[in-house]
Amino acid sequence: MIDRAREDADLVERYLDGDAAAFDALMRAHESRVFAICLRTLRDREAALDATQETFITVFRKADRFAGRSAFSTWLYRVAVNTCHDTARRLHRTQADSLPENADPADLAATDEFASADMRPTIESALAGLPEEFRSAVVLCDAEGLALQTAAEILDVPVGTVKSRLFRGRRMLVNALGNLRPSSNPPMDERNA
Amino acid sequence: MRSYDPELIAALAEGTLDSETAAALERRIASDPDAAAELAAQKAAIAVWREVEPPLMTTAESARLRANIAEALNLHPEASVVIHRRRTPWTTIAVAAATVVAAAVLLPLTLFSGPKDATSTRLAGDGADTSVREETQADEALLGAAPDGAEGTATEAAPLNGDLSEQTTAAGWVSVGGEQYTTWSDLADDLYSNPEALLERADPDLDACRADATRILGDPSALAVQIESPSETAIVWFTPLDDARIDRLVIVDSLDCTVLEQRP
Repeated sequence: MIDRAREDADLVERYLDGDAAAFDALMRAHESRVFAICLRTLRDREAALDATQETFITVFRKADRFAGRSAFSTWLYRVAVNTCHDTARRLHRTQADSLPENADPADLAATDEFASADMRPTIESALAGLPEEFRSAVVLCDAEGLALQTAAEILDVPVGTVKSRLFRGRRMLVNALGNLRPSSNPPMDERNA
Repeated sequence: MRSYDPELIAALAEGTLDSETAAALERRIASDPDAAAELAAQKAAIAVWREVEPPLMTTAESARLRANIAEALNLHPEASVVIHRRRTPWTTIAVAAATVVAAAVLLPLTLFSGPKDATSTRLAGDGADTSVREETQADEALLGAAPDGAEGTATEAAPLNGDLSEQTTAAGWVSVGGEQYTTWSDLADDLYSNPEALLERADPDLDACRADATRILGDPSALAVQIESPSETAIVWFTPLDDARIDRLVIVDSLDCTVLEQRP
């Protein structure tokens, strides 16, 4: 992780000095994850591709602002999340929208038919039902495997807030998926809800 | 009231607790159905993501994405060709040596300007040595002009690193309350001395970059106003003193919360 951060910082410097190969290397290293974050946030393939493009254009245009205070990836994902939220607001997409037809991610590389054909749309649909702040925490921490501290920096909230959103987001996701058998004795706060 | 600590349950589900703490917690959870149900839910939610492949771009989508970004950034495609055709040092040396010999024989020495580095990985363009940093500075030095029209202005560019006070808005202007500003510095000065527009337009629902703004302004009750130009969005966070004055303000880029200006 530290090596990746150092390599990214070096690539940004090289890009600013006019090295075209550094642009390619940064794209290769991060485009998949940025796209994944955007698709899982926006649930629309074309919108996610547009947001991914906007994210990278913004970051490369402002690359001289990157002073290595945090990892380049943290900064990049922060721009990606904010771009997606802006896009979602622009498109008036609410979390209650149904899953668009083209929201199922491309599966050219997937070999597990069960996961690609059945599980993924269900998960994506369940994810879509989560309020924006809970969805972002789940996407960053669980789907993308980022550390709580990193997610906190990306979302610009304290770590405790990420933990809380993640905890509640997971519960909402599982409830939406219906994967959890109803407890005979649900938690007190839910019984009183 | 919960009978369990959600943070501990989550940490146990994530497998981030040390073995001793995890074992003790598991023993306690075994006698607490609520906690057991919550632990199962947390584990199930985490396990969901192990069952799916991450969304992937197709090769065509990836190629289109990179091409669009390169075009938007004015990165010329021939630059990649130069890089991919990079020669080994021995070839370069041989070519350079041959060039020197040929030049020495065929040309007057006064016309000889030295061999050009065939392995350069600089971005191609009208000026092969013009870096992205310089081009960005040139672009942003042009007030009110389209970014594509920045050719030939590199020598007039103001430095962006360090002193942000001369930084222009990306689109060349930003409008607040009918007034147009060409630099964030001008905008900050005017808003700080005449904060009526801010006080009138404060948006209580605006939350972007709140943590950063709170840290900078030292006041969690700061108010915010969103400002848009044709190509970017900024947020002014400020702390009101009374109905007509403000104590401090900070302008941040809404996408990455970078501080653009700060007053006082």
